[in-house]
Amino acid sequence: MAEPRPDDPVAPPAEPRPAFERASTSVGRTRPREGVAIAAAVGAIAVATGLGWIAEHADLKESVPLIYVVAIVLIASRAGWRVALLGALLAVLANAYFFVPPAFAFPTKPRDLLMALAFLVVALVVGTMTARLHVYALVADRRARHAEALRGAARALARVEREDEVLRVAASRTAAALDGEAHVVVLAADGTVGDGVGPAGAVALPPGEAAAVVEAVGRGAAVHWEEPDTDAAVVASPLAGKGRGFGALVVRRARSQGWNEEGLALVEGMARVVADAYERVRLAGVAQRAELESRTERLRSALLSSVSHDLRTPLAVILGAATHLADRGDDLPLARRTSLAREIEREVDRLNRLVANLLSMTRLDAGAIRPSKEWQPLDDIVGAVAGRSERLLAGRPLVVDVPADLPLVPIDAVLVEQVLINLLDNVAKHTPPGTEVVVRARAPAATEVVVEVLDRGPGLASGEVEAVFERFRRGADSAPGQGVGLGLAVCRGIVHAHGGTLTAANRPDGGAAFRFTLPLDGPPPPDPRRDLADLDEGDAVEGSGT
Amino acid sequence: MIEPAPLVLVVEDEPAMTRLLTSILGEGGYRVFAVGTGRDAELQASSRAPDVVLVDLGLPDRDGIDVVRQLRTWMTAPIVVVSARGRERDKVEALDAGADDYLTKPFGAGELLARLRVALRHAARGVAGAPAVLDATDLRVDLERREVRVRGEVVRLTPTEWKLLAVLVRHAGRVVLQATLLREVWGKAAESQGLSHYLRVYVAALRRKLEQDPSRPRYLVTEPGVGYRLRDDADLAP
Repeated sequence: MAEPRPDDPVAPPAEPRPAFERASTSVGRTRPREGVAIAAAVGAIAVATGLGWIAEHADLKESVPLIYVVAIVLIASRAGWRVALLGALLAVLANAYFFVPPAFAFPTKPRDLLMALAFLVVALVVGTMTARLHVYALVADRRARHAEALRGAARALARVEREDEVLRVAASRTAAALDGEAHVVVLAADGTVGDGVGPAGAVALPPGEAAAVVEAVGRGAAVHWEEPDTDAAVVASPLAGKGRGFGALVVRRARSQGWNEEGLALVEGMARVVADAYERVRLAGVAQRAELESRTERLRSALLSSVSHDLRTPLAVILGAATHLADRGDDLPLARRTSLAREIEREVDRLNRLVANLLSMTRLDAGAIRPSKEWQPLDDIVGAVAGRSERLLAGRPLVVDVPADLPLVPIDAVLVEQVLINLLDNVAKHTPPGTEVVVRARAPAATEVVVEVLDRGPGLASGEVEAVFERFRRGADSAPGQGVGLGLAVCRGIVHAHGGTLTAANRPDGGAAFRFTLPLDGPPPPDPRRDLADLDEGDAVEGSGT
Repeated sequence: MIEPAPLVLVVEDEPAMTRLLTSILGEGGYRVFAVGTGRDAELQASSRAPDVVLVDLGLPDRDGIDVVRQLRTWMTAPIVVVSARGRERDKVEALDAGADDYLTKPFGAGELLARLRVALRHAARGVAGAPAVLDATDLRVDLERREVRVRGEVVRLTPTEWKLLAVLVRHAGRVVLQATLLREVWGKAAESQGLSHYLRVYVAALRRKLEQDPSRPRYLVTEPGVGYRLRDDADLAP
């Protein structure tokens, strides 16, 4: 683990905050690393003594203290200040014992003692200074990493757009940065505490935590406690946006890890980042709802104004035909009566489609349409639509061009059928009787199937290509009473719900082309058509009538 | 002695719809008794012993599906349910609960009469007497001789295609749920194994062999979101 542990054998450069003193110092310390450091320090002094002995024999006696100072610097830059002090003491003693005459005895002359004392002061100062530098380097490193963790969390959270996702990302980022367990608790509107949200979703709060969270929010400052049964040290840092606090970020670590100032600062920094992100998403949601409401309002008035015309026209035809039949039916020739009844039938079909589209649009707006996709061959649906659209197309020949080996497509059959019916309905509205209509499907890439509805009508006016998909929009050539222009908007909504796109264009050789894609997402299921060929070999045995 | 006209119990709460159904069915050669609630439906079904029951799933007092389930516990007469488009789940549920077929609102008079005709035909045959032969204009399927003829020509089917067609023939004219077809052709496990696309692929293969224009099937039609129906000429009549 790269993260320096707070119990590294170094002194904190500043006084720990009293509130957290207990956590950072009272924890039982097991120090395998300090034992090794002491052994290494003793070894270093021994080596320095050896080198000093060589120097003395090379007539370089004056450099012996320098050798010791180098050893102390080396010890202090690797181990903590306490080991550095030990090394300094050992060095002074060794120097005095081995090198200050009399050799192999401690000096007694005041002058030599004074020298030894001076050397001790130098050794101590050098040792502690070096150890301190080492600590500062560690702290700077740790702070840089914490700053990076905060920036990373802020970046990750900036991409998130849902409130619950903010909380999950926040928990996982915090847990990773602090090497502990983390979750976020958001107070309910009435100030009560429910479940927390961890990296994987909801987590139940251990007993007592809810009260601590409420306290942290109330105080506007981090609350810190220990849990003896789980051997954990916990911090709850309040989340506050522009207004009052709305929750807390809770981080749980092993007691042996404890909490020091940087750890706590990181928790508080994280809490600020999380609060900002949560606030942003929440406000965006509010703004979006307001926008949606005003759009819904505009739509509603557009709908009301078109309803009076476009719904009442077929109703008027139906009422007229029905009353005529009822009042004068006996006097009318059979052919006339039949034609009046068929008139009613046609208008009812139109009303039925209109109602279906209105319902779909409402459900699309509410996000209630979730395609229940199943892998299926497209020709099945195109066939059903072809059978049902004869009355709609009123004699326009329909050419179905769907290759038998088209891959299976994951779609909601009922919805895609509505898309095709609406597109054919649109063709019927805008093309002269008798012109050909083509439904064509192709799989140009392994990732999608493209379906086209092609006509030989007048095509789309320039500038209309995108506008046709707007709600309550009718083509300039539309005859009155031909629907409120919902059909294509519904098509686009359904295709989008499938993850595809719907576009319109003019065909180079005349007519309009509506084209939608259906993505082949996910692994396709095993296609039994491959087995069909094999099975055909066996059909002489069974099912052949012998 | 003349056999009395079959009695239809109509369970429908909209008076306008009840009037229309009574008129269409009356002229179609049925006797009609109409009730407006699920409670009355059960009372009248037991006292009048109708030949077929037509239930609108949107009843004021009870869930239509519950009515179907309740009736099915003791009644053998066929049940046809009426439901709106976009409520395919309701239809599947009603069929699962014991309904024999369904109609999607709004429907034409011809469709209504055809459904009732098919339902009564099946009821008359009973379970044991499932038809062994489907004889339509262009399509003849003989289950006993294991023979399929399209416009007089013998058509060869793979074993799976044959199994699938046989199930559809036994239910000729009626809708068969996807789940039922999967279970009967591929076994009980197929339902839960997500093999529903197998069914679609084999239906497409069957259509290529049986239909004149597979892209516009006349006999083997899809009921989107519910299942498949093998129509014979009786159903094709308006």
